[in-house]
Amino acid sequence: MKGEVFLVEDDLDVLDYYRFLLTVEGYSIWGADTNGESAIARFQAAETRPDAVILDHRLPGCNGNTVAQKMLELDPDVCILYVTADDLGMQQARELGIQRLKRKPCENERLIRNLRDGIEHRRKRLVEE
Amino acid sequence: MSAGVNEAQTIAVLYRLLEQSTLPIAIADMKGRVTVFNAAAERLTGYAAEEVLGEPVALFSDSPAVTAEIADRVLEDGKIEDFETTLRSKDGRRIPISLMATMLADESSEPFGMMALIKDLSERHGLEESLRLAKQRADFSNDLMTHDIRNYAQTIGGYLDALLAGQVGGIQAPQARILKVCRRQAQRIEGLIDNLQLLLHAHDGCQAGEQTALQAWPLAPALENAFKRTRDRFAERHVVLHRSIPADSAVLACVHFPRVLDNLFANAVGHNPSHEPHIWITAESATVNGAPGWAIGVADDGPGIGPESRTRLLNTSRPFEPGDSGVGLWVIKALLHNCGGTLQCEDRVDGEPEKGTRFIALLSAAPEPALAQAPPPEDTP
Repeated sequence: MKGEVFLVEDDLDVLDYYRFLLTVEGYSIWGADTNGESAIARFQAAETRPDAVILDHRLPGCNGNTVAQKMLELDPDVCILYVTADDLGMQQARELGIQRLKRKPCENERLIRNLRDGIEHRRKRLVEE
Repeated sequence: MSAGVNEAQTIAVLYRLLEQSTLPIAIADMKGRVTVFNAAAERLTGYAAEEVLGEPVALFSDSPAVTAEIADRVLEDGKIEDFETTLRSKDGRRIPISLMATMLADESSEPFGMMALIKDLSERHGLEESLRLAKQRADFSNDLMTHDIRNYAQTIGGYLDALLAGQVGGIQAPQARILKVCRRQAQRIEGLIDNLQLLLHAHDGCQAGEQTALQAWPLAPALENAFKRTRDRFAERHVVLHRSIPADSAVLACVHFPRVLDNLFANAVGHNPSHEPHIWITAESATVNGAPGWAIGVADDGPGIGPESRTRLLNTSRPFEPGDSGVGLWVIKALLHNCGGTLQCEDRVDGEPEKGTRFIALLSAAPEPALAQAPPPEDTP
């Protein structure tokens, strides 16, 4: 198994597409949420954290920036792949220090490559620690 | 004083002018009490002259501090102009005004009062507010449309990629051809949205008088990358590249420079019906705005552009109009303009327009220190 991924995306069609793509690419879905606040709550309550989070910007509850900040506080090694259609949200995420940013629409190959690299990077850091 | 008119007549004429002026005028004495209040001032404030004569000017004021500031500045400088403030009408409304106030002095230069000419700004403020709301609505619609279309494109493009990659079973060649056309159309939608965003931001930036931040772009890798993106975009055709780019060529341009090149290349291939379109890219040193620059040429062997269309396409003073096609060219022009550059167009073979077109983007050369901080060759937005 290549890794467990938490999907945080409020567009249900995009969410289904992520599920489909990640499954055929050999990843498992750790969980899926369409709301920023409940995504934070689920991440906070989890005993085992996901290998990566694919995070949208515009979300009900609170936006992706807030979700990312909170997740990074809870787990500084979390791999966040910020995928958004929102230019301003992307800029704000960059200012937050999020490294893996992709603007929608993003090709499958790029998405998977970024996810794979992010998970590998996280695993290396966890081993080093 | 005019010839043949005595002092009493002059005063009568001036008084009539004052009364009949459409501009609200008020005069106050040195104690700040109203001594003259014309009919236009009555209409503006709702007060009759007899209600305000002898009353302090503070009657109309929203703020004692502003009233004092106006008086101080007139006393000190003799006048104030275009001073924007508000006045309070009889029914309590706040009216936005622009004030021109001047000191009045007698023949021995002894000041005896101040005269205020008042311009009602209500209409202008109303129009400005309408414009602001219209822009807010347009920005909101644009933002919503862009966001949602990108989400749709993510799903459509992602599934098509998966189908084409055989991730949901094998497909036959005829189906693959259709899927590829669908994929390209999805990419065109993405490109259109990106171009519209760039165009809006370029225009908004210009209107706001923002300075575009320029960075150094070495031309060889930037053009090479743009060609690769174009070749991928038109993967079903065999795009042939001919290049002549000096290794030391570099220009100063904004962060969107790759999009300028993408649009130039897409125009060169997109309008060429050949299965094997050729592109010639060149970089030649040139003088741009009286300083060293580079002329980036992108030529094609497409059907060419007639002189009339060419003039229309390159007319930068003409705004984009409904019915215009080719938003890409407008993006190129707007972005080049923001970088201090220009776009030219000529026959690829002089005097033979049917043999293709060459677009030339002229940009300032990057100085060597700027080159040291040039972005890496991987410049895909």
